[in-house]
Formats: sequence, structure tokens, C-alpha cells
Amino acid sequence: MAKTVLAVDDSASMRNLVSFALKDAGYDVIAAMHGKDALEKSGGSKIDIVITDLNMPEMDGIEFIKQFRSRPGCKFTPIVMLTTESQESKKQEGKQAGASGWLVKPFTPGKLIETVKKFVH
Amino acid sequence: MLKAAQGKLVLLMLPSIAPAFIENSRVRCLSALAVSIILFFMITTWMNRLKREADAKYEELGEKHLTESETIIEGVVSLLKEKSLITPVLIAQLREVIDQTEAAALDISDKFISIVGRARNQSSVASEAFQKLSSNGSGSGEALLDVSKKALSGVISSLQDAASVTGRTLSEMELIIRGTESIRKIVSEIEYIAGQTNLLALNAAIEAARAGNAGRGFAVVADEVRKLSDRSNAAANDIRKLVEKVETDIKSIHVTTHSSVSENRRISCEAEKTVEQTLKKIDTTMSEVSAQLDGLTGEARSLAQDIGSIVVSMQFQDITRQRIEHVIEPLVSFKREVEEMEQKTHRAEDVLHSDKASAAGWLEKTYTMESERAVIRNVLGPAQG
Repeated sequence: MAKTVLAVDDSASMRNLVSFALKDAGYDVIAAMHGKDALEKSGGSKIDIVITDLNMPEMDGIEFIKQFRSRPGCKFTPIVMLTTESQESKKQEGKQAGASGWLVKPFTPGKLIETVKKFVH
Repeated sequence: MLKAAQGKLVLLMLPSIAPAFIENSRVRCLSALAVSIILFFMITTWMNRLKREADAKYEELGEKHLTESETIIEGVVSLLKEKSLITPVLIAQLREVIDQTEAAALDISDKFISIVGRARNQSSVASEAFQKLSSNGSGSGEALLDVSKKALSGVISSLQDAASVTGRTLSEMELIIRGTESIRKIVSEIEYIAGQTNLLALNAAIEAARAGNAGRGFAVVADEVRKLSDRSNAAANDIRKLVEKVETDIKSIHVTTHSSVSENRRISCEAEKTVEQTLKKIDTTMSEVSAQLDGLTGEARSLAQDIGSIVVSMQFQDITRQRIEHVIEPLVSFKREVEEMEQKTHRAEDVLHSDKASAAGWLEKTYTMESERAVIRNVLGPAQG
């Protein structure tokens, strides 16, 4: 059974391409445009891994990670941050919120899939 | 204070300014008083004139500075207003740039995904078509080309078998023709026997006749033998004719068949060559199609791999978008600060106006004459508040 990836990014083109790359690699994808949207869309689904941007309107990545982590059954779900920020402080902020890892933009689909596979066996 | 000082000065100078030739002290005092009064008025007039001139200059300078300050402040206010109007336009322009690039990037990504999908579909359709072409469609995996080769080889083999059978028939016909020769020889032998029998019958008839009545019965036998000889001869003739007819017919069939066999062999040979050439052509075409299909599949795969670079490029759009947003944020802050500064400048202008009012008040307090106050009102306008 295919694993489900929750992909959160406010850029529609990024959502499109990330979803395409993940689907191409055999994953089911739930795409959301910001943290609030992601929480709504992933409510009734079993999420195997979360790929989220950090700078987003409505609810940013850090707040989303905190709220997602507080959900029952989501304590150990891998969360990968997609960010243009390579600063250590931003990574630390994300890690403190509950992120499992990060991927700095720009990245190739190969790198994305490799990262996803690292967390989802 | 000034007037008091002037009075004191006159009193001190009064005795010394009286002319020395006037001996009468009263007269001297009176004259000195008169001179003093005259001097007092002259000095007072002169000092008032100086004061008026100084006030006028002060007023002129004050007015000039006020005007200049007002001009500068008005300029600053106008500039701030202008900048505070421009800033939202810049912000809106940048947001529109973000929206447009985002829409363009989305469009590009949609189109690219569609192209990859179509390429994959085409590759799949072509591969399926080739699979059908290169197999017999039964799913056994046997190549259509091999089936064709076998079928055509079977046809050629049948043609060759037919030619071989016909060849054997020709040989058999030749045997029959050779058999008819033997029959003809036998027939000749029969004819010879019939002739000799006829001769014997004739001799027997002659001998019977010579014997007279005693040979009458023998003559009947001799006649019957002669008749048999004639019938044998006639039968042999019939056989000869029949054999000749058979031989002629068989030879005719032999010639026709021989010609047909040669033609069949030629056709079979040509067909074999044509089939071989066709199969080679099919083989070559299939190889070419297979190579092209591999190329097509490779292209589709490569196109899918290109998505990697597209994804990377698209992220630069996203990075640019975030950088523009980082430009917008300080612009919004700048706009707010400009607005605050504009308000502060307005307040400064009010203060300046109030300073102007207070300067007018100070001058008004300094002046003692109604005419002097009238000058202030003329220059600075009616007093505020």
C-alpha cells in the first residue's frame, strides 16, 4: 500500500511539482496551501510523512508543526521542513517545534525522494 | 527705563552745557535747560528712529526666516506625502509581480506535467503497438516476424514439395513412355506371329485343296486359323494405335508438366528470394522501429528526469517570491514611518506657527506705541488666540 505524504507549500507551482515528483515515485499525496489548510485536509487521514514549507500565510510552518505534533497519533510522524532559510536558528526553531529534518531549497526531486525514503521505510 | 536714563543724563549734563559768557546764573540755567530740552528731544528722536530701524530689520529677518522654514517644511511635507503615496504603489507592484510570476510558474509546471504525461502515454502506446506487431497477439510471446517467416517458409516448402511430386510424376511418365516402346515391340511380335500364322494357314489351305475331299475338313481348320491370324493382326493394330495414342498423350502431358514444373521451380525460387528479402526488410524495419521505440522511451524517461531541473528552477521562483516579500515587509514599515514622520512634520509646522505667534506676542509686549503694534499686525497678521 502506498505511503501518504502531506505536502504543505503556499506556492502553487511548488505544490504541483512536489506532488508530481512524489506521485511519480509511488506515494499518495495530500497537498495543502498553508498550515491551517494542512490541518483541515489531513484530519481523517493517516499521514506517513509531512513535507512543509516554513514561510506561509494564515499559519506558518513552525505553528503548523506544533499543532500537528499535538494531535493524537502524530507524535512520531516524520516532518521535513522545506525552507530557503539555511540559518541554524531557523532549523533549531523548527526542531524545537517538532520537525524531524529539513531540506534547503532549491532541491532536486531525487533529493526529495531520497529524504522521504530516509524517513519512510 | 530708557526714558529714565535719558532724564538722568540730561540733569547731569545740564550745568556743564550752559555757555560760559552768560554770567547771570538764572539766565545760564534757563539757557542750559533750553539746550538740554532741545538735546533731549533730538536724542530721543534719534534713538527712537534707531529702535524703529532695528525693529524693522528684526521683523524683516524674522519674517524671512519664518518664510524659509515654512517653505522647507512645506517641501518636506509634500515630499513625505508623495513618498507615502508612492510606497503603496510600489508594494502593489511587487505583489502583482509575485502573483504574475506565481501564475506563470504554475502554468509552466502544469504544462510540463502535461507534456511528461503525454510523452509517457505516447511511449506506452508505441510500445504496446510494437509489442502487438512483434508478437502474434496470443500472448505466447512468439514474434509475429517468426510466425511470418514460418508461414512463408511453409508456403515455399509446399511449392518445392509440389515441384518435387510433379518431378516424380514426370519420371513415371517417362517410364510409361519407355513401357509403350516395349508394348510396341510386343505388338510387332504379335503382328509377325499373325503374319506367319496367316502364311501357315494359306499353306495349309493349299495342301488341303491338293488332298481333295480328304483335305476338306483340314481346309476348314486352315480357314479358321487364317481368320484368327487376321483378327490377331487387327487386334495388334488396334493395340499399336492405342499405344501410340497413349504415348502421344503422355508425351504431351509430359511436355506440359515439364514446362509447368520449370515454371513452378522458377516461381518458387523467386518467391523464396522475395520472401527472404521481405523478411529481411521486415527484420530491418522491426529493428529500426525497436530502436526508435527505445529512443522514444528514453526521451520520455529523460523528459521525466528533466522535471528535476524544472523543480529546481521553480524553487528559484519561490525563493525570488520570498525575497520580494522580504522587500515588501520593510517597504510597509517604511510607509508607516513616513506617515508618522508626516504627522510629526505637521505638528512641527503648527509649532512653528505657534512660535510665529509667540514672536509676535513678544514684540508686541516690547513695543510701547500703538503704531508699533500696528506694524506687527500688518506684517504677521492678527494675533492668534
